[in-house]
Amino acid sequence: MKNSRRNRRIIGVTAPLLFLFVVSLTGGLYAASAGEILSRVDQVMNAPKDRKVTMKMVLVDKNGNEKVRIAESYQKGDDHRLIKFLEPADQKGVGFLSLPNDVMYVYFPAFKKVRRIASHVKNSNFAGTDFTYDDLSTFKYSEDYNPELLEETDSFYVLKLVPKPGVKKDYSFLKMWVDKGSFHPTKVEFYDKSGNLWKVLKMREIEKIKDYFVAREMEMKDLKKQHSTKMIMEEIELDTGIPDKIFTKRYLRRTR
Amino acid sequence: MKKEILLTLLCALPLWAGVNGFVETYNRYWVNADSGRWTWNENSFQALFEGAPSEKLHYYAELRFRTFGFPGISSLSDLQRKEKDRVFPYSLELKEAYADIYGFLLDDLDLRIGKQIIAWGTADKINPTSNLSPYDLEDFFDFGAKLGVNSLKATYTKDPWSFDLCFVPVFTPSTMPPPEYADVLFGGTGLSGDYQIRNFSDTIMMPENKITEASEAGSRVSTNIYNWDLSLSYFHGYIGFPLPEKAEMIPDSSSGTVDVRTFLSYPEVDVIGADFSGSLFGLGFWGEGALFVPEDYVLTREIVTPQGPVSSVDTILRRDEPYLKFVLGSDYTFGDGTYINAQYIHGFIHENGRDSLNDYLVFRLEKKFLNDELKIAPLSFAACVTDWGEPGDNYGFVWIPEIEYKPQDNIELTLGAFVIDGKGTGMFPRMKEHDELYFKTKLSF
Repeated sequence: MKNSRRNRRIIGVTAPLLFLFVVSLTGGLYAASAGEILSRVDQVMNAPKDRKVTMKMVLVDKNGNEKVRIAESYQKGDDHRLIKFLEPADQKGVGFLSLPNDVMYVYFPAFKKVRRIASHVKNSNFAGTDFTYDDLSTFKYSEDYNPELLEETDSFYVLKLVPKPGVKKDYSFLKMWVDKGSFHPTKVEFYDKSGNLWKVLKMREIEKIKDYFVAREMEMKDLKKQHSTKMIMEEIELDTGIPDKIFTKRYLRRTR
Repeated sequence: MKKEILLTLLCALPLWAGVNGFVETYNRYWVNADSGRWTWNENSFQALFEGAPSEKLHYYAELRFRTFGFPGISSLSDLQRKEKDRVFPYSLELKEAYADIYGFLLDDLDLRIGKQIIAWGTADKINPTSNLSPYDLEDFFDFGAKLGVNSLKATYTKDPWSFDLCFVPVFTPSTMPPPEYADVLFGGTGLSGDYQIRNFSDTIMMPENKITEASEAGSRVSTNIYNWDLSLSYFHGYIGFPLPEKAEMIPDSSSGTVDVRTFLSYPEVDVIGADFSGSLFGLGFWGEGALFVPEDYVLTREIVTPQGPVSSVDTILRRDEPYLKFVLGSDYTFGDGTYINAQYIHGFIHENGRDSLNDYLVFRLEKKFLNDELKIAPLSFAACVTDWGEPGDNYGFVWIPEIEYKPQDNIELTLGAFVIDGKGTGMFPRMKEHDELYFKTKLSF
């Protein structure tokens, strides 16, 4: 009897602790789950060792007027990227090189030299598109954002991404729809500092090339400017062994 | 003959694989002159030829054909010339033409051979470390423009290190602005205070076309340390602006005047340079310094009579004292897209010699609208104080407000002004009657 009472007391004392432990464990599992999803997203987005893409960017203003840019993009891993414009004529040869630790360079052929650009330009639009320098730089979402799983449907995980303390972004948070099958994002909403929806990125025609999931089309819409940029990947080459020397100032200033 | 060459080239254009270029018009109006007048009338066609016959070869050529200036008609025969060159003064210029050989002998060694612009330094437009390509000062307000120079450039890269070695076989001088601006930059003869000059003539003596006389060379090593780009450089050659070496004064006793003949040459110089660029707290920072080590430069003034020189006085125009020219700059882009760029400059491009260096602040604020179609730079200026002891009486500035509109890709319309004011003897006060409006159109293809 005494033992039974003692046991009940122990249970009575430990139950709330156990409850707290279970709750915290569940919460922890939830956070880990969101983090895991975002890590998978980063893995999928940066899965190819390298990629060379010829892309067509179609800029559409609020009146439906279109401008077209054609560029070549080289990417290696998740922190080396080189972009070169081929068209239009007044932007031909303009290049952008993004390296780890926010080291970025631009090359304007008219000035004959490579210019270092500082991180203040990261949130500026690149060459009139709706993509910022930051969007075009390579980065891992999980390094810059804390994820939270908002919703899980049959097809998607919906994550809320809040910039980590100390990471400067123009967005207060992002909402990301992640395809459960491929772990490739299909849509990202960008919210401004006031919490209003600002931009929407849609990724379409996601297909498997060499075991990697790749979106052949991305469209970024700026709702404030009523302007959009559609990025169409016309040619995609994956894992071709792009040498490191491509991601240097030496190659940035080369036209071809 | 020029016309035939041009026609041949224009007919051959479609045969070239990669031809881009632009058509540009540029007009300026001097608003202070009596009831105003046009000062600049330029219409140019510039073709850029570029191609890569193989993975390791690349060529580039830039050809400019333009009509520039005003009709120079003084008689009916000028209107009857078949060339029409008095009605439309025109010229043809090969601005650059070079060949690149990538991976020459070594995988990491690139050669560029031919007429090229070699641009060193991290500062914007004013680069005291960049002395291999001469300045093109034809347009005074386009300071920082360079001319292509025949040269060989070898670049060896072992990331993050890069080594440049440049050789210019024959020194090419800088071009000068029109006389009214040249006097502002370089002063007059420097003799007018002592004599009343009747006739003035000058002769420029170029270095002899020998490897020991006319050649220039430079080297540069660059790297990246802790995310900062750094470089060191060395240049041996000439300052691109001539200085008088000898002045002969021939007095005319009947009129009390003198005829002056000056002989100018180019001073030799060694330049040790360094630059950096990087990012701190989100701002861009750069700096560039060049230590110029000149030789003594002596002006000999002679009074010459029919019997020969009767007196000769030597004056040291520039001592062999090293002097430092430098630029420090920073830029930032605000959240709303407003961009600012500021540079502090010690020693402008034409200022050489320890006692002739002035301090300048160059600032530009610009903002883009309409999805980058419209760019407005309301606050863009260069300011200078030539004497900090009495800054109120020794200052000058040029304010350059500008609007650029791109109604669609490949077309650019620019409207701007040069508003100049100041006090004292500096460059800007001497130009303060030169307020001008300008308009440019540029169509790229």
